Amino acid sequence: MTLYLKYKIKSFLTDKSSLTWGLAFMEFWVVMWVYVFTPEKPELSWNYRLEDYLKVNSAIAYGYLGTLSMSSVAVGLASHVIVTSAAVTYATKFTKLSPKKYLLEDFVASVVGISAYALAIILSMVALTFARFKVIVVPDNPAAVLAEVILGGAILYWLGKLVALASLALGRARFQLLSMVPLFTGFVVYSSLWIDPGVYVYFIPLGPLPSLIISSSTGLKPATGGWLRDWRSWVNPSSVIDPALGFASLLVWVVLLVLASLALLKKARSAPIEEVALTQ
Amino acid sequence: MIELENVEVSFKHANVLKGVTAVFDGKCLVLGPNGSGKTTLLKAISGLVPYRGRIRVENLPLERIQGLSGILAVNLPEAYILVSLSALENLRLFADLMDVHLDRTLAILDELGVSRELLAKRKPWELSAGTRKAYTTAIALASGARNVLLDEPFEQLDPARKARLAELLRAYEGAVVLNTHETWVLKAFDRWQCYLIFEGVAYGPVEAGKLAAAKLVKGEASRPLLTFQAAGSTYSLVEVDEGSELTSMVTLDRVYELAIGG
Repeated sequence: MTLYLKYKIKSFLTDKSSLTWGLAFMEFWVVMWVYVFTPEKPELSWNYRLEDYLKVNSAIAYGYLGTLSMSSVAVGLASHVIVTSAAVTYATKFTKLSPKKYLLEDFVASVVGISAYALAIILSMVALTFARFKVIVVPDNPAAVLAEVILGGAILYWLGKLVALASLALGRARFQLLSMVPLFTGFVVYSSLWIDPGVYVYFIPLGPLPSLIISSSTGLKPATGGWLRDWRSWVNPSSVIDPALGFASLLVWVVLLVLASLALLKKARSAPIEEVALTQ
Repeated sequence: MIELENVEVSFKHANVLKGVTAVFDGKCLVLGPNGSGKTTLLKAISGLVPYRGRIRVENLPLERIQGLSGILAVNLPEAYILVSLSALENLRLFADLMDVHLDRTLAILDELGVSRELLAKRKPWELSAGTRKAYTTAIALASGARNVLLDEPFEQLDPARKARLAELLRAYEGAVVLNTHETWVLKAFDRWQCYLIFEGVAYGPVEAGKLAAAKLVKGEASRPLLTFQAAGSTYSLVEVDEGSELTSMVTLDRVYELAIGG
């Protein structure tokens, strides 16, 4: 391992744009969710205890807000790929950061960096729920939640790479629009809080992710969407994600994004220093 | 040693390098006016732009070189923006990647009048143009690479820093390829081999000291040191007593001013 891994993680965690849109803005919605959108005394039925309600309520929040947070960070990752394109070409040839080392360290650092934002949303949701209701809403299966967050980070890493490589290959005038693709994807997924995409959820990048996180956190069946339409349907959703198909969908998206990135890699040309200065 | 064989680089259907064939062994100057393709040449050798033809660095085809530190270093600023870091942290990163002691780079930067405090406060692209040039030149020289490519290393440096850098370059133990449009380097590095580059075509090599004393005449002279094409005309550099020396032009941009009657 080289210092690249350490500094790349550090750059994710100190990037002003990511901290603003991926953390501070999302934390605002976490606060709103806990203190404004969650009723003081929810109407409970079917032997639902307050603890159960809060656990599902917070899992929905961090499942969706965490995904949106990671999508925001991926926008920054895409611009980072563009401004470092020349340095990566040079360093992988003429320093000990060989292409294999670079791909490994860049992937690990980026997934750690992206996932850290989702984990911060999870932790703050748990902390604020405790602060207001004195109830600890720790996920039932934290290891599965962590794995799902990392898988989401991997998809967004390759989506960010693909967007950057596409703009390098097609011409950087298109970058303003293309760079928003990860965030746009995040909002499409976020909309499934109200709109149930049904079986189409498998065809959306990151589509099954929030529901799988909610399921791993609460033990509920993962609904294909519409979590906020009626909280009484949480126990028996009308349409359910098959967990195996859900994970397969996420993995297939990773593979598709990797293949598309590799196809664009040869056509991408590095960015000159003038653009580096303008985009930082 | 760097060998180029019929290297061509095109941007949007414009040929920037037109079949450059050259061997950079030891210390070499590449002298040409602005826009002649000097920087593109270094970018091609560094693998930063796609090219046609063959480039070999230390007998290795460029496209096959991967993860080999110590064979080539360049001072192009975009080559050193790998992560968003302070300029000092960035030095630490490249010291690690190039297996160089950080103190070596800092000592060269100190020689060039760039303080550690400044580097800790700013990111590389936030440095002034002159400081940024000194910064990347110091990284390239500290690498101790067998081949160092320097693009306009004297540009925007004050005279004192120019003199210190010239001393560092003379003392450098590896091969150096130095791009510039300023003709004073011909006298400063009179023992170095020199290529002239005009409109994407390289001419030479000729010993820099001989070029410094040569006179520029329009047309094809008999027994010239070098003949080149610029602005649709042929020029010759000849060893005669009469006429103005190449170094009196200050920069090779002047060739075009002469061509349009300046």
